[in-house]
Amino acid sequence: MSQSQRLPDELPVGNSIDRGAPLTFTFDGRQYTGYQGDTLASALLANGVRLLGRSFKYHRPRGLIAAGSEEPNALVQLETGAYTEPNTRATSIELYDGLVAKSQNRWPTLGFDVGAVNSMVARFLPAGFYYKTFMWPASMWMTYEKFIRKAAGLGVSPVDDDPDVYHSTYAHCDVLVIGGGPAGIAAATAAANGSARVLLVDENNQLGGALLGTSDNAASLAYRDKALQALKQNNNVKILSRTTVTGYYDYNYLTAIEKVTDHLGPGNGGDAPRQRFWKIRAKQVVIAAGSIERPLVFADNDRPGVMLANAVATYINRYGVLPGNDVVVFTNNDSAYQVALDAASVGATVTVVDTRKNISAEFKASLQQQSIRLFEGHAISSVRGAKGIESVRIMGLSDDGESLHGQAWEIVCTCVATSGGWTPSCHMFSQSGGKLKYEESIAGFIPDTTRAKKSCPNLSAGSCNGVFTTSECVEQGADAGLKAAAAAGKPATSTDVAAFAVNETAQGAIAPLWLVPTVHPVGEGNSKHFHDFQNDVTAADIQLAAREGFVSVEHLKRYTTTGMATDQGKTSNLNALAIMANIQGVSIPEVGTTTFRPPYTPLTFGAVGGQESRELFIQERKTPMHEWHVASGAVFEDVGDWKRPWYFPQTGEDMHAAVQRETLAVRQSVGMLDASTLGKIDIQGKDAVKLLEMVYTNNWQKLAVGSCRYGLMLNEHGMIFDDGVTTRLGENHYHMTTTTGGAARVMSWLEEWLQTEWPEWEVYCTSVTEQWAVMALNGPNARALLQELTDIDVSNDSFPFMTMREGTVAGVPARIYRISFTGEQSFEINVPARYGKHLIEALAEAGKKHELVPYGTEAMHILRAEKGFIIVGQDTDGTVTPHDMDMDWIVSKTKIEYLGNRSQQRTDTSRDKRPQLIGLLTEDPTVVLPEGAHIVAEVHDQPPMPTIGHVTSSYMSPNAGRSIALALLQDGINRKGDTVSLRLMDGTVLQALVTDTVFVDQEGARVRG
Amino acid sequence: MFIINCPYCGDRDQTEFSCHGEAHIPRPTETAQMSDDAWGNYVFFRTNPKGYHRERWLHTHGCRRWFNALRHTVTDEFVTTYKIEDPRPPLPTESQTSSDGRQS
Amino acid sequence: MANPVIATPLNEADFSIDGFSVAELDYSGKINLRADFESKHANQSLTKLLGIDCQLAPNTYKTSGDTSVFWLGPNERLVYTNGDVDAMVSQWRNKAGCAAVDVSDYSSVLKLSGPKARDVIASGTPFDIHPEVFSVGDCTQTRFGNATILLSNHSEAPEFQIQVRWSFAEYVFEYIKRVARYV
Ligand SMILES: [Zn+2]
Repeated sequence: MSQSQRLPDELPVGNSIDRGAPLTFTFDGRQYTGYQGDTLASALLANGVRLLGRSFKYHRPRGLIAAGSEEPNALVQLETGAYTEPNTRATSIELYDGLVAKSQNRWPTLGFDVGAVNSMVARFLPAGFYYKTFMWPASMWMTYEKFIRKAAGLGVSPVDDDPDVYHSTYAHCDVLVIGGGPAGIAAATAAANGSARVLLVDENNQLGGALLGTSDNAASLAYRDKALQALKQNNNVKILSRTTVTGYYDYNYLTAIEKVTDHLGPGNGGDAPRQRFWKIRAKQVVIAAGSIERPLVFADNDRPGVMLANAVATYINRYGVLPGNDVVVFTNNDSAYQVALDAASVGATVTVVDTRKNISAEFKASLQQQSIRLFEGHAISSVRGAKGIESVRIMGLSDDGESLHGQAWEIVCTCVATSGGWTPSCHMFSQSGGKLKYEESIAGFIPDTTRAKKSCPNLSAGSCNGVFTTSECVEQGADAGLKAAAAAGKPATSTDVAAFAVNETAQGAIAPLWLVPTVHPVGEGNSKHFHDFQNDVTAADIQLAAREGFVSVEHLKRYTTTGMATDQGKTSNLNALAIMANIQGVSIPEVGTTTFRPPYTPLTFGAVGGQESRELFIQERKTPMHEWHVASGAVFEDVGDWKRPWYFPQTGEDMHAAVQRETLAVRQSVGMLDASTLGKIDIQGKDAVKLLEMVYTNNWQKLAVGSCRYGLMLNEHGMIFDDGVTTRLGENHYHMTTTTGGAARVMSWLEEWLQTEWPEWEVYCTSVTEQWAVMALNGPNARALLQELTDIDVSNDSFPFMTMREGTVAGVPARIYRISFTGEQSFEINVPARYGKHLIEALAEAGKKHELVPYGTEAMHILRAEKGFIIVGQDTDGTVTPHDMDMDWIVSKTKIEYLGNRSQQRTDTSRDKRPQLIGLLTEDPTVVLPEGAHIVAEVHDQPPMPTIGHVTSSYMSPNAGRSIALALLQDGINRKGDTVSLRLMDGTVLQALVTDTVFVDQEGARVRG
Repeated sequence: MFIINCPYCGDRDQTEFSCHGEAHIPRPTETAQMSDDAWGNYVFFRTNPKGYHRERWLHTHGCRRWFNALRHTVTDEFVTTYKIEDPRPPLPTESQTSSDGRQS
Repeated sequence: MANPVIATPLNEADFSIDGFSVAELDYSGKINLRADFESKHANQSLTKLLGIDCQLAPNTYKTSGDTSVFWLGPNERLVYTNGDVDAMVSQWRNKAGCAAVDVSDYSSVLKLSGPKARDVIASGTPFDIHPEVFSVGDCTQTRFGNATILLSNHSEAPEFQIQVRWSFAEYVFEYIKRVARYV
């Protein structure tokens, strides 16, 4: 049977669907037809599909409750394979041709569910059950968790790479209007009457909000269309539909998710992203988010077919779908009467059950006209039908609402339209830090005071602010829009907002009834009173929480998990609070509310990440020589954000072979290393040397122009945090180098001191890291190779170690620093970055007859370790002083003030037996210690063992002909010559000799040769 | 996510800035003569108040200037920002505090 | 020896799509200039050299002939010039209270144009570039993705320039290309 519940075309309903555009879709393997304009929910309902899923805890059959994003039950697994997405609300999925969806939380089939046994053992699954049962013993939780997740888990996450693309962007406006219903449209219209930049956001595919779901709404929609037309013609206004504001943060920073191409189906979006994440900065915000109807909490109110009254109206009026041919409207307020009339007018048999007495004659008359039966002062006492409602039983309700009496009536029905009143959507207001107040007349919370007027200015308007007629909503919206524009400094020049002149029925008073009694006390017998459908939380759970002392609202929430599901309790929170208030005999505001937290509706990680995915996730920084490295087959290493050549494998070489070859070549012929990534800072000014004296531990007063010096930087804790070579270029001009990873940190360190502590000093620091491409030539053939390409005399006499010369190299201007990180004869050639490619090509060509070998960072690490040169951040970790590094030689004994000076004499830094840097030689020279391995004082079979140090650097050294390591060892300097034990993760125990840190060329002759 | 008023560039997004902790902690002079306690106070101890806090910020992705801010650590309200050389602004009075709905 | 190859960070790459173009510009001379521009004496002598008053409003730039001066900070300017950078730098460096550094090769400069240019830039930067707050003659340092950029507005057409450090150039260029397809 096809679309059995779809109403005939002749009826004036279904204004959102296009009957000329049928669409085919699949749900749980069966094919159905719907129309363009349907949601998955309305299309399923049209086809008579009432059972859409199983509940989270008890696996009870569940159907649709709502028609909007507040839907707690109808979560489906949308699409398959890489496109699959769990927990999507059928009410928010726009139907497209070929859509495939599956129900969740059922096995093996929706109709027959093994897990439903949970329902029969429900008395063993009370609130707090998981905490009580599974959290002890803690070690067993891992075992239980697997079971629980499998039995209760919602949808399934995709495992394949996401084939979709996403976009995130910033937006700025004077006035952001959240919600495109009557209040929001009026607010945007009013705000845009001047020069204000207005952003109007609505989660639906068309604007109109509550106007969309009402009957006979041609006049209302015409009113909307006229207003939207004017807004669209205004260049200062941007309208975003299919866009949900998900979070409201400090200083009016709001996030929203726009479903750009979701409604077209997977892979049909072309170049457009699937979703767009908006990061909005608004000077003022108007919240016109509407309100959400509450269900009445009666026995077994979760049976498929029990729906919110306004959802029933929406399915009829917007989508031309009648949710059931026999409808019982169960209400405690007037708003549901129109729903009864709408259902009757399209041919349904309707009964109204009102908990109140004294219904107005006007309502009674209009019901009578449609032959609708009315039961005043009655309530539903029980329902029949597990997989779909078949009938309800009603009884008289006592005046205090506490008990039932009199004759029971059985009413056959397939749909119950229930209304317990309306809850203003205060999510955004609450997220902004606003305080709510309880409004008796509507039995709900409304916005009271904003928290931070300065940082989150906003106004609420319309039904989220507690007014429910369209004309009132329009008035409030227009007023809020005007005020917001003025507050943003862009007052409206005219105040015209067309009044809403469509006739509306006046609404009477609501009679709150938070928990509908049964013939048994709640919690006894087999029936359940659900308030939170998605997390399966019942009134009995709240009673249990109260009995066990979890009465504070935050405890209640966590103990029962009410409001903690993906719907964030949109339909359930107020009912939960009210039930607790009744139990405790206090007022609802005394119970208080929990904090609303983002996101308002679930959003995808893809959208939040936006375009910053894959190769744009982290910036990859590249040097001017990068292309050459790629062409030469380099394998790259990430050093900070930089891509640095790690090693250059030749055909057939693995990493070890390549690195050993490169390391040997540097000491035997000559190697070249791209050192462009080193941080470089140009320092000028008459007080430049004062700065160097303060930031380095050694003396800088006597450094000659053209000379270089190594320096160590300490923080005020006295710990090493960077090192490098600084060269004096001129009288008051220096060139500082830093580590690759420390460049930005050092720059900001220098600026912080200069700007905040020594502003009167005349010193200017400028980053020149990328101005220069740097190639380090290292090895005995370096000089001969360089001499071929430069006009500088590079002989040892005229260009000694630790000096700098300017001239040309390969025909381009260059500064050459004779400094070394390998202990070899070394020249660091700096050329303007534009010539970086030229330089490396010229060197590679000229280097052929000098056996020049390009080497990467791994060989560099070995070469420096062979000489005992530290790497800050590898051999140091922020707890290491110069003395710990055995580097007393670089700490001035004469100068009094420098950063970190006084910390050298703290009791802890000056104590004996601190960990100190030493060399380690393993007993077996072929064994390379793992970095991080612990040196232990005593060896035991099992941990714990007292640790006295750890390995910081460890390599196979081809030049030493054996493995070498550097380590931090307690009192290490005094232990040289001792043998120590290291215990590895796998239990192996190794012996090593404590040595000096220099393994090659102890005299240091090569570097000066 | 804050908006922070750089005294040089005006209102900017928080992600352009970095915070470097409490402001107005001058580096002592004559450090060699300082007691361990006094030096320890300078290096390690900060006030960490619940309420108004003067702190040092850097306009990292902007003009690279350091400046100070007076911020409320509970409400995250920036009362003001001021240049390093400017005098410390006074703390807001109680009545100004309560307009924010919170106490310090 | 053959003439040296000169390479820009992106080899002067360009990219176009309906409504948007981006292209890397060739090098111009660039000098980072530091001084107390509030001081009449310092400012006058610099102004005389450049023909542009260096006392700029924050986050603006001025152009005269082929020379432009950008405000980077209260005591920091960036000069774009086709003049003799070496000569200018050594002349300024030796003035009391001034500092000058040749940064001609430090960065890549991208020109962005077309009606979609604003949306492309807004995808990566939290800074508001609406013409009402960021007009022709304005410049600012801000964030684009994870890179720091110098952004300047050159025409209502619109036309913007993004200056970014060499090592980040490819990242920013790829970022721009990707979002250009999405906006
Ligand atoms: Zn700034």
